[in-house]
Amino acid sequence: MITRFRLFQVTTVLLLFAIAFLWPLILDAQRFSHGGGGGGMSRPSPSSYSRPSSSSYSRSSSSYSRASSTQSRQTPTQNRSVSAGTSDRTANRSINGGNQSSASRNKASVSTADRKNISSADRTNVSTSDRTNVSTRDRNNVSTGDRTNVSTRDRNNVSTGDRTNVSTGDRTNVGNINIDNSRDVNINVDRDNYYVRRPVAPYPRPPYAYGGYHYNCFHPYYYHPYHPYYWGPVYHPWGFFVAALAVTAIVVSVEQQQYYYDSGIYYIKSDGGYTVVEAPPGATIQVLPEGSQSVVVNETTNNYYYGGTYYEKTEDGYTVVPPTAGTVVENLPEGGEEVRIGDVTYVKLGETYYQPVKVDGKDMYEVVNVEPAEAEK
Amino acid sequence: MKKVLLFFTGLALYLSAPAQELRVDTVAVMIIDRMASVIGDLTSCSFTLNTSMDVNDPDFGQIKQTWTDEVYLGGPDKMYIKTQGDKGHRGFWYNGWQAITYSFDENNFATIIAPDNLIDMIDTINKNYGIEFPAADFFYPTFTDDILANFDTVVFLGKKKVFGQEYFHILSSNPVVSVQMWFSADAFTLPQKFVILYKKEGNRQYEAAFSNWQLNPAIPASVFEFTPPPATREVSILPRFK
Repeated sequence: MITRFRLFQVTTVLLLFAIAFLWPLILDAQRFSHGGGGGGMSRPSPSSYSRPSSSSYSRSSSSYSRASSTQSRQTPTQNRSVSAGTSDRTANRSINGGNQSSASRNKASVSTADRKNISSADRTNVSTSDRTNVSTRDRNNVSTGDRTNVSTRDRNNVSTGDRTNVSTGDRTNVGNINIDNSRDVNINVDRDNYYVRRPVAPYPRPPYAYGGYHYNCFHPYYYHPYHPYYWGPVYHPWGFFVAALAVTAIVVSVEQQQYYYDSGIYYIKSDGGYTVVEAPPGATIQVLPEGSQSVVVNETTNNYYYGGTYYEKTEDGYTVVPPTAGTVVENLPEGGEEVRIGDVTYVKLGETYYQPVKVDGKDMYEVVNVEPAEAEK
Repeated sequence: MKKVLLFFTGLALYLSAPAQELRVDTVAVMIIDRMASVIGDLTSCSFTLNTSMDVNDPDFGQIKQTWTDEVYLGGPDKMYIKTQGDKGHRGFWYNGWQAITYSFDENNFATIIAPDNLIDMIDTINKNYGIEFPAADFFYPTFTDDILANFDTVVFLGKKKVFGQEYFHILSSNPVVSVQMWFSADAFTLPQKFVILYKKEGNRQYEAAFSNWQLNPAIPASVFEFTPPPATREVSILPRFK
């Protein structure tokens, strides 16, 4: 007769036996995900070879894989004097700190029987917060030698703010140098209405993809440097401060927010005076500002464009509307910022991206349609 | 009890069955290790990389893009790359604390604060900005282990003679991609060429050939410092992730 204690012993042994086979399944999956750059790479413990259960190799250019950023990077144990730590790499003057190989790798023979399926369930995202600071947001002027010939200009703070038509995430610009934060274009303004409208016509080409967003234009990219257009002495860029308004200024209310309008410029009250802000969609004026131009939105619709603001003719006059993707304008006002997004350099003005294009031999800008990649599925 | 025993044993045997056949030649591993050791002992190097890649053009279908990179690496924290071809005319400078990417075509540049060594810089900047670094895989200190970890098959295809030069030909393959590499059959065992086939993309091909290898050259530090040309403009650069 088998006692309970004996049964318990046998069950325990079998359990341990099963765990010995199951253990490799829960090791992190590995990815050959560096090279050409690429995300972090998860390394196995030296005592086992683990293989991904699904093929996980992808390469876009000169790197071997970069399919996703879902690997965790672990410092491998080494059989060499040089470790993978960054301080050790710089102490060793070789290019990569010296070759490193797994201590358990038997270079004479590799048994294929030891390789197991592994689960990818335990992959963790690479945290970029621990990386050496790559944000240049807070940097002062970078010393790279004589900069007298570099064309720099005061940059308004045009970053932050939600993109209500694409996502709720912030797309804070990094890499800004010499930002002039004395002009804040986002103060005390409800930004829910600032977005780019989709065009009516479909785009003939697939979008340009970068960083989880799709960028699309009707015209091909043709770079020309950004030179703000001067609309005259009455024009002021967003963020500009005035102590007093002209007597011709009128009050315009939009969704219980009071704005002051004069000659195409919209102001809100701020400490000690008034600050220029982006024109609020929905604001209606009777007379277009001098210098306004008609721009084609689609076959049936025109907008009137002045200083980065778009108007549509309505029963009540001319109403401010958000820009429509695909609209081509000749000039952009001061306050824009050239931003390199992958291989393309756009001009970002407020929440709107403009792609430099060439139309009929003239340098122009087209309003870019920006959407998160998931929204298009 | 017998039923319990059989259950555990059957479960263990089922879970331990390998999903796919694996084949690794020790000769291939030895050659790759040899190359990695030589690279790991270099304090500087330079080479030229001629690359061609199949791309799907929305207007013309599959075409080949070509470009050339001149690469200079100094110590653990210096890099200069000059690229010309279908990817545009570009330069990349890294001096140990900042990386600058400059477009000759647009005459503008962007600056990125970077980690203090090449490997972390490559990892970070590629991940955050999608900037590609030519043949960077070969310079990773764990290159051989990475090959073994990511490929089911790593085989030595023999010594081949091309234009009077001898090379070791190695194939590494998994269900998604195959990579063929050629290493010089001499004391240095340097990489000379590699070809990647994307099996699930109609065997789309990426091919790159090394030339003009210089080992431990004396490269002046000023080579790795960017000097803004006249009338150049500095632009922001958007990372791929917040």
